Amino acid sequence: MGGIAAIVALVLYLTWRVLFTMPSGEWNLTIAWILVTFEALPLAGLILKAWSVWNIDSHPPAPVTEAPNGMRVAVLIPTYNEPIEVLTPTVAAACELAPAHETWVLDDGDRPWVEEMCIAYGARYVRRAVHDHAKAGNMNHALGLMAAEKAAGGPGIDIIAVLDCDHVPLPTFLTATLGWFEDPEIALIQGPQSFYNGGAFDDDGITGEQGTFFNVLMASRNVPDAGPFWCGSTSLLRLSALEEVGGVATETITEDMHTTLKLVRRGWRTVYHHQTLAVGLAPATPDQYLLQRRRWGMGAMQILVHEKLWAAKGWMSWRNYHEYLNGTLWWLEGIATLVAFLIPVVIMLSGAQTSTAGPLLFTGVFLVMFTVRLWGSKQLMRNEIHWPTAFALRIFRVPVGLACLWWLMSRNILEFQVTPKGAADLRLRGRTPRILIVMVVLIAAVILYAAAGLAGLVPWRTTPGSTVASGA
Amino acid sequence: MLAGVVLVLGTRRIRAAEFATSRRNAYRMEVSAPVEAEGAGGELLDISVGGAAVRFPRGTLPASGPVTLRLPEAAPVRLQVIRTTGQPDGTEIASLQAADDDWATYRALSLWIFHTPAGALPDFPPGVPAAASLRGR
Repeated sequence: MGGIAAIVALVLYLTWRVLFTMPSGEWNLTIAWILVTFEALPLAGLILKAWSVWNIDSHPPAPVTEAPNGMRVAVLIPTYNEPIEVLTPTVAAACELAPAHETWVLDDGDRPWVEEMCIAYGARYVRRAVHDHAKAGNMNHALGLMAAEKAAGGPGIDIIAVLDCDHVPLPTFLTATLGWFEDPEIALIQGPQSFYNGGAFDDDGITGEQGTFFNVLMASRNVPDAGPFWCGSTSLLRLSALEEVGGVATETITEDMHTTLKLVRRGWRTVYHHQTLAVGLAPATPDQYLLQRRRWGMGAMQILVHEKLWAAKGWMSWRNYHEYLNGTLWWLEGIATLVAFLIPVVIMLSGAQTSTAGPLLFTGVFLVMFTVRLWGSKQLMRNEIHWPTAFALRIFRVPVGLACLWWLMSRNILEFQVTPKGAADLRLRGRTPRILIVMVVLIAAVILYAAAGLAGLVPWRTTPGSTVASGA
Repeated sequence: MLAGVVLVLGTRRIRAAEFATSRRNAYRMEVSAPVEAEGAGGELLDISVGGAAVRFPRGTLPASGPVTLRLPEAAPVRLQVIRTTGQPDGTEIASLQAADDDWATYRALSLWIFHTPAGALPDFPPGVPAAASLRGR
């Protein structure tokens, strides 16, 4: 109902704008239509969103006490430079899981203390001679070991569970999910990533910024001919499916999503298990947050280009096509935000009259519409949104969007940058990206100029009502 | 105007002191539970995979050195007293830490936090680990 309310509010507002507030005169009318068109842009997205997340029901299989059909399971924990306090609980908890399985710690940092810990906990310590392709390469090395040992007559591994080194599995991590593999078409089970470090940078007092993604958006993809993508952690994969696509993808820095597309192309299914089964560490500082989001965004651009997603309908269902294409393009949202800042400014400075409504009436109508939209969108997202935090974090997508656009134009080689999960020597506050400082100065200048114009202190050719229409 | 509000919210969050970097590697959870040490009963105040803060009657714990702490429904763990601070109510708060390379203690604390034994935290719903504590947030 929230989604419908938000859509109706925007439609009614746009109807009022078109029928009752359009000015006369060719110049004014042209600019007014540009502004109304700009205001109408969110409508298509709102309708698509309401349709796609209408149903987020989950139907998991019953918990099991053994892996189906005698399958053998290995839990993989790739690690690089994370400290003992981050890695230890993950390895200790993984070794404790039922049913019987192996726990492999893939240490790309070649650290003796990690090997000691593995011996103490009964995990298998794995290191490799060549450290290429970061986490993807690390995992592929482990897959190569598995294949070699099976070829040498060993029992082999059938299912791998992947945990980022800060994601501590809860006791039912395997017993709750292994039942999915009764279906021979399933290659991937992805679970939500939940975080236990309250006060993280994206903590909004609900479930953090990723709560909407994991509790609504991903859950909505458990429909026929669609499914979630691999998010790197809190996941399980069928080894034979991975082998079929040549292992973990190394062509991009978001190897998880890219591998999923390869699986989908080969006809494998992916499913979402909507239950918190592991808890990890969310980025604690602005710099960690920005580093992680930039990597995700630029990796999405790599996938967009590498897989030519705009032409992927030939091998995808409509739902998957919509989700993957929109999901990658979403990382360019920062560019749209930047444009959204500039258009009203330009229109306001143009002096055109864009509304015949008085300032009080316009403000009132706009506020009612905007309030209903915010309320409705929050309902649609099952109350997983905290608007002040969501707005605060949205501005980070401006530098991320710019980085993504720059990569699309330059196609530089990208390096996988691990999100730091430990402490720092100095206590430092976050650094505001330069583009945001520019935007703050620009907006402040425009607001001051508009206010001065309304007060008659500077030349201002439009009406108060139009100023409000552009300025809101 | 909305753009301005969003920008202000965002830049304030970036510069906020609570999101500054920290020298602490282990995340601490505020969890209240009865604990035992040196034959006396005390209270757990917070816990991490590397140690704990506890409150005991003054004089129960040594000013430094090893102590054996028993968490609810768990085997005793060996920790080092780092410091004790006297309180006006006659108790003392002690900071306890696992010794380097004490894998058994790290494991015991980790499992108590994330695979919390049944009955250890009666105020928590069944199956919910101590890591889910919302105290102090």
